[in-house]
Amino acid sequence: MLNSFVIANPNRCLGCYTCVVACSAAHRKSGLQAAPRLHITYSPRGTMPVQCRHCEDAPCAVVCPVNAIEIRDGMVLVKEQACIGCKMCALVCPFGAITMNGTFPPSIPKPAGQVQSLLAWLAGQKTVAIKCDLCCSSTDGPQCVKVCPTKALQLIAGDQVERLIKLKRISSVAVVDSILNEEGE
Amino acid sequence: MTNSIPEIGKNTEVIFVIGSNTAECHPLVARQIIKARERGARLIVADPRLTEMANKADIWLRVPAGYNIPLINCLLHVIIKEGLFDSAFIKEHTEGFDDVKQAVEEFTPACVAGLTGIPEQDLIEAARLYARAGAASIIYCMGVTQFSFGTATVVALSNLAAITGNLGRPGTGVNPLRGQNNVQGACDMGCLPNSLPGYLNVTDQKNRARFEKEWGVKLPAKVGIKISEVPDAILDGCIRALYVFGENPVMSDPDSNHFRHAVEHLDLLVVQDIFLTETARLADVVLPAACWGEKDGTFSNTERRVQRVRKAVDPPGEALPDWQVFSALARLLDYHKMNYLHPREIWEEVRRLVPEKFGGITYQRLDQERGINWPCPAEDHPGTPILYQGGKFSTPSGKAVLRPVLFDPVQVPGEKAASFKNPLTGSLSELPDETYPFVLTTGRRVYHYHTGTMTRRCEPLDQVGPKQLIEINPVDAARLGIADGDFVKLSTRRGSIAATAWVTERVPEKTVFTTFHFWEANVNELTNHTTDPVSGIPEIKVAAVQVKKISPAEAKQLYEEKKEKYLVDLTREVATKFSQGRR
Amino acid sequence: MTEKESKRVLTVCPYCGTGCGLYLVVEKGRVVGIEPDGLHPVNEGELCVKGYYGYQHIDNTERLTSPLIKKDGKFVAVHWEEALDFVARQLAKIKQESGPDAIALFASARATNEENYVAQKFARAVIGTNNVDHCARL
Repeated sequence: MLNSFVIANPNRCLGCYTCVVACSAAHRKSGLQAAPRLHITYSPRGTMPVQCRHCEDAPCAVVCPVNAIEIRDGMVLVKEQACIGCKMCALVCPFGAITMNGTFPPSIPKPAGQVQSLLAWLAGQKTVAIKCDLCCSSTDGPQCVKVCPTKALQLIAGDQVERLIKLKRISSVAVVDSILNEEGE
Repeated sequence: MTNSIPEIGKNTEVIFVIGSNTAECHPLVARQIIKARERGARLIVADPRLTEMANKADIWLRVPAGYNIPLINCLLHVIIKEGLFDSAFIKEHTEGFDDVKQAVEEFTPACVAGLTGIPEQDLIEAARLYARAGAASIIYCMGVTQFSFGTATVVALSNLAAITGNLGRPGTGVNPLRGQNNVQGACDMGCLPNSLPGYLNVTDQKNRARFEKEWGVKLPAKVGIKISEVPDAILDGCIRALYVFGENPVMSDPDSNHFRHAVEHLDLLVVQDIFLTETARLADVVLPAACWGEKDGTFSNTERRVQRVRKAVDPPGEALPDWQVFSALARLLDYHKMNYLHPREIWEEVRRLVPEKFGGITYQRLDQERGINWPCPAEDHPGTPILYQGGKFSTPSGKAVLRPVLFDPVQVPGEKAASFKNPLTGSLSELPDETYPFVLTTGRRVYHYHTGTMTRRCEPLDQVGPKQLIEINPVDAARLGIADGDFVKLSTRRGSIAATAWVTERVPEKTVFTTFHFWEANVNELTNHTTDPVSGIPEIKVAAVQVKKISPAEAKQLYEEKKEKYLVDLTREVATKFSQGRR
Repeated sequence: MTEKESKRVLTVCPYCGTGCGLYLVVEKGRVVGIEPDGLHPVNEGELCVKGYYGYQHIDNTERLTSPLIKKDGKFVAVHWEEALDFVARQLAKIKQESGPDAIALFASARATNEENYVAQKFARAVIGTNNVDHCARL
């Protein structure tokens, strides 16, 4: 079966960040890095959170020099403990779905000068690759999907992809049919 | 709001959003708009910024900040010219149509397109779409009101709704979105210098008599001064003591440096709040208040829905609900008709005094229902989600009063205004010039709220929005050599701030946008305190500004200056000393 | 409330004017989470980011827990009696010297109806001025 993934519908997305914060909260609760794994992205063509597509032949997993990224249980996962923060995965990801980050412990005040997220670091803080893990450590699925107030986010399961592709084939028949008809006229 | 929020999702056919970043500032209202669109409703958005609402609109009118009146007048012009108005409604339920017709005559699509840069065809299409809808709703927010001509703009919008008969029916109306949980309630309860609870004019002897009887004192008849007039009144020596609760005017009021300067001249500043806010730091006395979740009472939302809020936990330390503090002070000042045991008793007094609006709303009912929209005069009354049903208005004649609204960016000529009966006029108090060539407009971001007193102390929220961003168009950024993430300094005639640039098409050319959530770069040091002559609302939404790229070192220096200014370095000491013993 | 008690308290969001219904999840006398109210006609079981996650300020260690009076440029913690007595005497003095209109009150669009009602009553009936306003304009 194909890997599952979460994707947003920009026609519904309000850019309200509820998913982003839910993501962060869920991972913090699981003892993982609390940096959010989806990124609200604004463009003149629409706004939506962007996150990992859990590619079947994931380039991030291929380039990882320490095998910290593995494909298992229908998803692409980063082992935060093994990651060395080399950034190769973030660069090869075609969707910009991987960021390098580490969590600011809440007890430490944030540095006054604003810092770029790619370089946000503190002494003693581990900076690793952060990406969507479909909230595999929580019992009720991806938290972003759960909290989205407009239901713009959807979990697409592997078998659902196959069904969608079948539907696409049906509609492509109609398209080809009309093109050939036009040709014949 | 004249109508209720659920109607947008259920009944509205065309939604006209103007001056409201609904998706970020009222996300759950925006959700109703998305719901409406999915059942086929159409969306018109007028906003200078490419907000999420604008991005989803069928027609986006990119109106430059400050040009709402010509835009609305143009829609009126097209509707009148093409005969799309509701003549029966106008005849039976309005007065003053001819004046409006004459006033909008000059606002042709060609003229307004020239003034605003909005394509003529979009203006015409928007007017047709709005006027032809079976039920059209206008949704607006501070992007309409926070101008020296805010009242005039709202009147123009009500003209638009009235001539198309979009009032008093499900899914229609003129619907302001209130920015704070209980702005509606604070107004309803008479926290206004000219009105007693229930919007009863304070200058009317009959109204005062009603309250004098219950309160047992003679009440002042002179209208008080508005919040925006207070700084000048302090400097003139008229105001010597200021008592502020649950508000942070040093951050939220326009021209903050002026306000701060005025506050220094007070003999007494009392601040009652839940944190040592930027304003509280300047106070002589700070009183600790209980916050949301620690006290009982009611809030009234933007659709006039009175809802019960409940106590879940105890306040920390010695903090008290605001009503108890006022009661205690009243006793010390020898007034003994403010001894309440529970907010329920206070609400009972409100019900007794303003039965026509709140008489039917009891705590008991609020425990069973999810809020009741006032007016609700009797306990068997269901409440009033829709105002002006059947075209009955709360004016002396019972008809909607249409008033002509005139506009000129610089100044409306006196003789033109004089040719109308009772006109309203609008012009901008500050236009861009050589020194201050950009337009600055302000607002909020979704993950923070107002002056950040609460949300910046909620780690999950502060994490996604840790710093101030200044939106600047890529064309301007390229011209000024600014890259995304560079530090930018904004200066107006009133002050300067520095923050990180966000290079984005969200703002049009020659316009920059930022927020008032961060003391590190508080945009209200830059904003203008010129006010609307009727409502006293300040012109926060537009100012002339200079934009300059600065080095990280310069940004750091400005940051240190702001820190000195806002944090007054009292916090750490006080906070650590008194946080002991917290639960 | 007993310390062990865990409960859900129905209330209304404290942020924007939409007025969404939500539950405060309380454990051991602390708010530990928020759940949307599924029966509320406005938000219909959904919330935005502030609705879900904007509650931690309640428990923040910087909360004011005692009245403070500024003495020689520094805040000093005092008891309620002293603070209220000071405020009452100052207000009475200013009222006597310059009239009630020398005092102004900023009420709060963040506080409850009941508190705002009491605040304006305090300004009008106790102080004797209509100088009461709030941040509706901001």
